[in-house]
Amino acid sequence: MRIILALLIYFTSNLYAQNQIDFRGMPQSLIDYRASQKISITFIGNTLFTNDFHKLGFAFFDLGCKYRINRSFGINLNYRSLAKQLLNDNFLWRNLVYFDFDFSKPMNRLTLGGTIRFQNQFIPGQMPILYNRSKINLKYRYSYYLQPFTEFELFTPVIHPTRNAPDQFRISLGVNYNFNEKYKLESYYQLRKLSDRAANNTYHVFSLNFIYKL
Amino acid sequence: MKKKLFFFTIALFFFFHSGLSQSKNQIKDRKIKLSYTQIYDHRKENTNRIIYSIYDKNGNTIELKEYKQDSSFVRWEKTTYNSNSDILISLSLGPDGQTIEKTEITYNSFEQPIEQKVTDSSNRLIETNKFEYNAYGNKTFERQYDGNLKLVSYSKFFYDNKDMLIKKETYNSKDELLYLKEIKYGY
Repeated sequence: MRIILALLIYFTSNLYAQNQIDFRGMPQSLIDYRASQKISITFIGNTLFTNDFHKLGFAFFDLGCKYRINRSFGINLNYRSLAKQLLNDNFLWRNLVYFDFDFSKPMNRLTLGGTIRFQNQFIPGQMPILYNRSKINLKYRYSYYLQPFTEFELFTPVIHPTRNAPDQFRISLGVNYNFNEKYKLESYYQLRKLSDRAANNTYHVFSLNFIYKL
Repeated sequence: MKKKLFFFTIALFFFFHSGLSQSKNQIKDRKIKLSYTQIYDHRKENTNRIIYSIYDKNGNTIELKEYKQDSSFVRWEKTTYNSNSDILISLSLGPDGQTIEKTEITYNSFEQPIEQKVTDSSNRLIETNKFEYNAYGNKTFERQYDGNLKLVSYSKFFYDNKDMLIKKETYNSKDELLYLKEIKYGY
């Protein structure tokens, strides 16, 4: 009885904080030009529909260069320009530069992978913000065509005016479908949980990514 | 002809050796260090064999000696591997341990062989094979050179959009087609 009462107090206290639960849809296209085994140029176009899919909340394009050191390790350098729609329907533009260090270790049909990402964000007139967005993922090669996967990502502010502890995590569960070596479809559900903020919202994101290799 | 004989010998070695022995993973799992194999083939005369094999901790055969039942020598091979269990150096030795032939293979950072050099007992280059790969890691070219690094022949490899080999063409140094292999898949 005491446990039930404690849980009740916990959840009602969350309601008092007016945290939102929002369902979001995220279509994305990625073009990957493989210059060689070592070097790729990538272009990403992404939109995020918020307010239970009713409103265009974000849109970004991303241009990057990937260098594969060997089968297990690679590095990326990307530029991302992101527009966020404000309450007055104006857009706030942000520019991000991020650096990734990727690793992957295949173990029979399983592949354990991860990314150590440092992301620097520039908003005109504000101080730069640096985040560590590291993630770890596990992929299962069911067949050439189907590869279910799961991923965990943690946002930790490194340079931030107000936050100094992890303030967001994302858990994804999805599947890759390879049509062939050129076309791939990736679909996943992602739970995004914010913390250490005024409103610690929860987002349920449904994503559909189309990947084309040139 | 010599090259064909060499590849035939290597292919035969792998075929018979894999047929006779346990798999590499089984040997690794059980931490087997060596094996002694006796083969009695009653269908043919003078085909009985004794094979001694020594393995590394990854289950790779690092040394193999084969004798006939009357103790006459058949072959002696020594092989070294990199940490990924890819062959680095393969030595074919005579009965007294002298090197008859040495094969060295070098790899790129994606663990794909890019060059294979074969030298004789006096460390003279007999032949070289060079390999090239496309952006997706599929082998696209294989070039064979003689001891003087003069092109003997080359092969081109073609793949479908699911990375499956669909055609192999082999040409001589005058670009004349020597060999063609085409494969069709039903998806």
